[in-house]
Amino acid sequence: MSPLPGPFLAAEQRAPWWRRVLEALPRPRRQRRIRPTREGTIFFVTAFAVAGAALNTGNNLLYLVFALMLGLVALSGVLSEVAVQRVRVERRIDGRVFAGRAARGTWTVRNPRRRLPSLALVLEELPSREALLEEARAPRIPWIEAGGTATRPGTWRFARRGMHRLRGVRVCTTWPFGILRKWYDVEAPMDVLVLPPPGPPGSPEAAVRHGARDDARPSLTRGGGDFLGLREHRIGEGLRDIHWRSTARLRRRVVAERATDAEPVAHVRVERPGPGGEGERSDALERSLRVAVGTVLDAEQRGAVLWVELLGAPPRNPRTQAERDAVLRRLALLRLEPA
Amino acid sequence: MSGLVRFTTVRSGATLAVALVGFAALRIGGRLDGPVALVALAAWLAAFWPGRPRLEARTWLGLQIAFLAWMAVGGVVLGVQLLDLFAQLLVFVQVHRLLTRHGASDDRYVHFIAFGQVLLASVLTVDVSWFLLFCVFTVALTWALLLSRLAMNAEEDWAARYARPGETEVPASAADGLDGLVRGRFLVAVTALTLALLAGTVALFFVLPRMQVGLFSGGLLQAVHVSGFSERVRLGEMGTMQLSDEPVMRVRVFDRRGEPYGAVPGLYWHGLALDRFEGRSWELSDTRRTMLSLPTHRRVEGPPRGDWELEQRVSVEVLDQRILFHVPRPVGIYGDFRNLEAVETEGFYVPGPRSRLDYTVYSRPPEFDPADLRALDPRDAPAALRTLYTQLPDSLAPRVGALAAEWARGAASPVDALLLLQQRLRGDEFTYSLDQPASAYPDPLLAFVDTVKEGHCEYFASAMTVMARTLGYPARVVNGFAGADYNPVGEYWVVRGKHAHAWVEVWFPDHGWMIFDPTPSSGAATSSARLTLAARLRAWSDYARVSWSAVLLDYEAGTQLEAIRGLARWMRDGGRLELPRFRDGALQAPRGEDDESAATSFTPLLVVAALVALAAVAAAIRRRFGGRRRGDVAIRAMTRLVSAWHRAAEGAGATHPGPGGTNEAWARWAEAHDPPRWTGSVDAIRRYEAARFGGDGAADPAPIDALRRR
Repeated sequence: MSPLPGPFLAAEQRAPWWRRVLEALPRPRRQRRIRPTREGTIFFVTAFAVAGAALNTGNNLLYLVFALMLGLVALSGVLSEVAVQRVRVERRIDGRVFAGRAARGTWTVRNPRRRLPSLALVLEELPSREALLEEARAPRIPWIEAGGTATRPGTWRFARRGMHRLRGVRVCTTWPFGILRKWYDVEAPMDVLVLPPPGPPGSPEAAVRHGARDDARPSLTRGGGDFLGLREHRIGEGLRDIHWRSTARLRRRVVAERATDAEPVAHVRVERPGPGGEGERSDALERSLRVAVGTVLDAEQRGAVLWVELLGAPPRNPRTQAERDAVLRRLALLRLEPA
Repeated sequence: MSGLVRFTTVRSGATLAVALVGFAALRIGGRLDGPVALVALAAWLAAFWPGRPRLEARTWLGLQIAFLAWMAVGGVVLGVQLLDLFAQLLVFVQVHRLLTRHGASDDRYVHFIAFGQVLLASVLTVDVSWFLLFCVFTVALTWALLLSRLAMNAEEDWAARYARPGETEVPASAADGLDGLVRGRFLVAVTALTLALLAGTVALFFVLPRMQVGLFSGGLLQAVHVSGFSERVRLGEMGTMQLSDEPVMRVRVFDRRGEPYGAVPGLYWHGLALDRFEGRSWELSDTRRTMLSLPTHRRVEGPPRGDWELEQRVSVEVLDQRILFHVPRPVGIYGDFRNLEAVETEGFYVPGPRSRLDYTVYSRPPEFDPADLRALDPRDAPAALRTLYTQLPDSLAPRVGALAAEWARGAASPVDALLLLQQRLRGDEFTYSLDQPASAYPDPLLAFVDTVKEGHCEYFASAMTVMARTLGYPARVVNGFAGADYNPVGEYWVVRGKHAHAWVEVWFPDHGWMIFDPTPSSGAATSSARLTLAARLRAWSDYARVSWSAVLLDYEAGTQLEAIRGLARWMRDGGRLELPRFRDGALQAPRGEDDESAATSFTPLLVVAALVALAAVAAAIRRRFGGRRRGDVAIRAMTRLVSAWHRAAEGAGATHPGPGGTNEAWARWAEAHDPPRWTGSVDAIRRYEAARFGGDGAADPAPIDALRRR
């Protein structure tokens, strides 16, 4: 079963018929679109009123005012085109991206024209059905001189893990008069791997459990080094690690730590969720993925040896950064299989 | 120029200029006077001071409530006009905005309110100064809007980058980054744009279709008019017109050869002759009007067939009465009207709402030669005429008749008697004065001729008319204008309010009504030979007003139709364009030949234009919907597939995954429900989702589409 419900399916069921018809239509490429702003709506209503009054009374001064309003609209169309024309936009998201957390990056906007400046730009992420953005702060760029470049910090927040495809950028402006908002869409696809938000490493709520092949994995406690002391047995550790004698004496499960065991080792194991409702199973998987990601990152930070065991596959020990990234990628894209 | 002018300074200056023009518009509309104007000016000046002390929001709220209360009291109790209240509201709101504005976003309100003020002024005045303000407003507004929008963007940029959570105040320095923009090239470009906008506005003005529907007439406004003309003369009352310097009409007079007539100041512009004297006032005894209609729908042009000497092209400002002023003894009257109304005493009216009047009159003015008249006796007039024009009020003091007889004593003929009366009134014994001491007397006419001997033209004309009647001569008082100022710029004569005049007409056999003017200083005209600078400026100002009226105020459907016909003729004639021209103080339509044939020749061009437009629309549609992306195709195919599952599930009446179900759940249900039809659905969905959400390969729509078609 897919962990990501089809977004278009949900839209299909909620949207009215006309919306469906509109969405079924092909989308234009780099087509200019214009829509009145709130002030523009007031402006057009006023213009209609002035036109009505002029027609009714025959007052030529009202005709003149109406002509000015039409002239402003026409000039607005021309100037807004000048403001947004041929803008080159690049965006970069720095570092790893986690679901529900703000990702920082940079917008770089270039005006390649030789003479004309770009004015009062607003850049927005294109709405995409392939990316679930909770937030994408739209940068404002008041002025880029001819041939100039402007950079602005960007913030993106994705709703959930997975591979999100940012479709492109919408270049907008309400310049020059604020009555019309003109925009065009620049196709700038960018795949963003969104990781599950990292949970606390090794937390009790983790669904990282030992499987049947418990003995096959390296143990923290069964080395041959000097005895260092006892500690609480953690959920997820094998039964064989329990120091039974001390457990009987202390009436709680403890394990013995030895010198060779102190070498930092982190173990990640994600299993298929047990039987239950689809929601429960999905939640369990997500929780375990959060813990897994938290553990991987923690291990990375501590320089610990990492052992990863995903969905019953043999344990692997990713040593390089690329291998660890691959693990994270798998965690981000892991899907809930049918029970 | 960078560094010399700061962006914020220019933006703020443009916004304040817009605000000032708004106030000025209300001022010329007559709705911003006295203390309100002072408050507006003070607020405007204070807006230049960034560090001015500011009132608290609570204080403003109190002021707003107080103002609303004043509006309610003014409108309901004091009966203040709605437009006055609205103008005051605009002033109050603008003052508030000017004093409380912080950032660029506040400027929007200032612009909008100023626009409202200019709009309001457009219905309050028709003065050419409105147009000048409108031009300034257009330029200032363009600047202000352009810069404010940039500043708003800069402020939003600052807020997004530097503002702390909850911080709403944006510093003035937020737009400092735009200082480099305000350079020579930018300034020149924006100036060019504003001029282009002005030109475009004027062009659009002429293109916009004209009609006067007249569906709603709320009676919000009194009709705008320059001066008044009364059908009644009342001694002791003098209208503001006679004290006014405002132009009442502009005239061009030509002789039979088409040469400009130079003695216009000596002409009498007949308005209305009054026949009945009631002791204090003159009026018409028969106010009925006779309708004179043209027998044809075609516009009739002069000159008339009869004998005429002077052609008068007259443009009368908006008066209370749509009366046609003319040099006496009109032979033909021509204008853009099909009906005229006439009264018995040679008064002509154009029926319809008050508006400016443009017309041409051909007249044969009477030639006054006493030698020709000596043998004639006005008392030989037809009985009806004599009865009408010799009537006297019962209350007339006998002393008036006695004085008339005394002054005319020794006259050899009636015309000599009349000349003696005229001479006596024009003599040193009587003084012309706009003061009217005689009006304080119970019988002002008797007081004037017997004791006070001081008054204005109506006293002199009344006195001579009544005295002539006491001698048995048919006489009447004529109300009109005499005198004119020459405008060398527009080459026309301006008749002003101060030229309003009353004179006397006496009927003579074979000659009709002859003019006598007993007023000492009547008929004075300004010399046109040498004008002072002030007079020349005044002439230019008047010419601007005439042009304004002719080109813009009087532009109407008829003028527009003529222009379209001219265009059609131009197309038919291969590029020889003859459009309406501003000539003789008005837009003159070109004289076309056959409009129907012009319209016919216009048709093929229209068809071609329509085809070109259709092709352009088709190209635009193709351009818009031509490009398809592979991913979109897959999504559309997927959407249709899911819809097909929905329909199948509904048709089967079976339980299905429901609205929250995932795509894969739907696919599984479909496979289980109707295997022959839906086998492979799960696989297709998985592959599709793998492609979309992080697997390998592209989202291929083909298998999904194939499933749907199955």
